[in-house]
Amino acid sequence: MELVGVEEEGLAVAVAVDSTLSDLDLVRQVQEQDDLKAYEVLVKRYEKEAFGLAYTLVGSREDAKDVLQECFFNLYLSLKNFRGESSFRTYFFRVLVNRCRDEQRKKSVWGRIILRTVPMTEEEEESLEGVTLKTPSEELAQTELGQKIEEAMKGLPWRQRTVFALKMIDGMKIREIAELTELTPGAVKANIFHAISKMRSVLQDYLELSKG
Amino acid sequence: MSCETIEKSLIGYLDQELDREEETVVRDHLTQCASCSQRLKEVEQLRSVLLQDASASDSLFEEMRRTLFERIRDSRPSREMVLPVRRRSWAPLWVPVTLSLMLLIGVWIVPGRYQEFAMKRDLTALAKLEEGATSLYPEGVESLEEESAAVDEYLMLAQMEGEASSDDLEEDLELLNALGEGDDLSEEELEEIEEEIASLDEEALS
Ligand SMILES: [Zn+2]
Repeated sequence: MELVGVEEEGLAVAVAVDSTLSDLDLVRQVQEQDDLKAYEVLVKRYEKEAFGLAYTLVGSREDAKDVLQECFFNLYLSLKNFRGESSFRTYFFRVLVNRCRDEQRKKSVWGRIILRTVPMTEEEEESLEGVTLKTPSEELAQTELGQKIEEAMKGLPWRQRTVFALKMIDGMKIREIAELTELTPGAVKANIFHAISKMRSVLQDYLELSKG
Repeated sequence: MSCETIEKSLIGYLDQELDREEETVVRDHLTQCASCSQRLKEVEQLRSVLLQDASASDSLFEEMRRTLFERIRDSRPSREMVLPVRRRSWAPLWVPVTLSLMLLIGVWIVPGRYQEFAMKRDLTALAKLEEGATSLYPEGVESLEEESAAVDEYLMLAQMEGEASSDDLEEDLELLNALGEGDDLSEEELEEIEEEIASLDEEALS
């Protein structure tokens, strides 16, 4: 199936897209020519990092894929309003983090309805934010390692989980994470440190086993 | 320097984002401290385990892109529709009021302690919008374009977060553009805007 560059009336895309173009150049091509090939280059450029982040935050491959698709779709619709005053990358990840958070909220509300639990304290709520409902197919696809990681991630409050994922999965600089999350660099560092310590202790057995 | 301080810098050391001085301190410490060296290995190992788990097959991405581009192509005809520009006399008030209400709804109707972070951002955006509206006054008409750029950025964010339908936003943008093309506002229109903004201010602050 032809995914991009489909010929449509008045929108024929004949020029090949140079994949070395900057984000901003690609954005311009989408804005000015509605160039789907350019948009595809942009999507491909970010999809892996974005998936890693979304998966780490929402804890399911299926949900992460949906969040990603939704995010890229909305981005396409609103791209013509983007003036390039902020970095596309920071902008994109900020939106993605917010989407993931919304996804988590939906899940935990659902989980609460099903479990018929009483209202929780803030702390309980924070630690339960990561509870997700799994479909049978996902359950089958879960590896042992994946389960351990998901369990460990669930134990982290949302803020810690976010900065931890941005750092460990996407390798972002502290400064960039601070800009994206609107935290101070010091707070980002502290959150990462606490998250690493917790993750390390929860995953200790696995890390020990894989040492040799 | 204490091991705990070093530990906090290990991830920065791995990602080579420490300043030169800090990096030297950490490197020197690592040569002498077995426990911190072990920690460093663990952090590296933790990352590789996480990355391995968070990766996905090409087929997942292909499937995601297939759905995505199908949706994008389906969305195109409606996006190409030309939106009519509203009556000018109504437009000036309509723009800031609608946008501000949209924001206020986003800020105040959301229940509980949902996202302080989002609320803070919305309030900042509200402030920006109000600046945008202020520039509609005669002395500020020239700067309208600049202000509307800020508003556009916000609109894009709002749209991406589903706070408004894209049609609403299309219309808002059309109106902002129409205003930017040198339309004059009457005294009454300016007064109306001023009053509306003042009442929104009060509401936002209370
Ligand atoms: Zn040490």
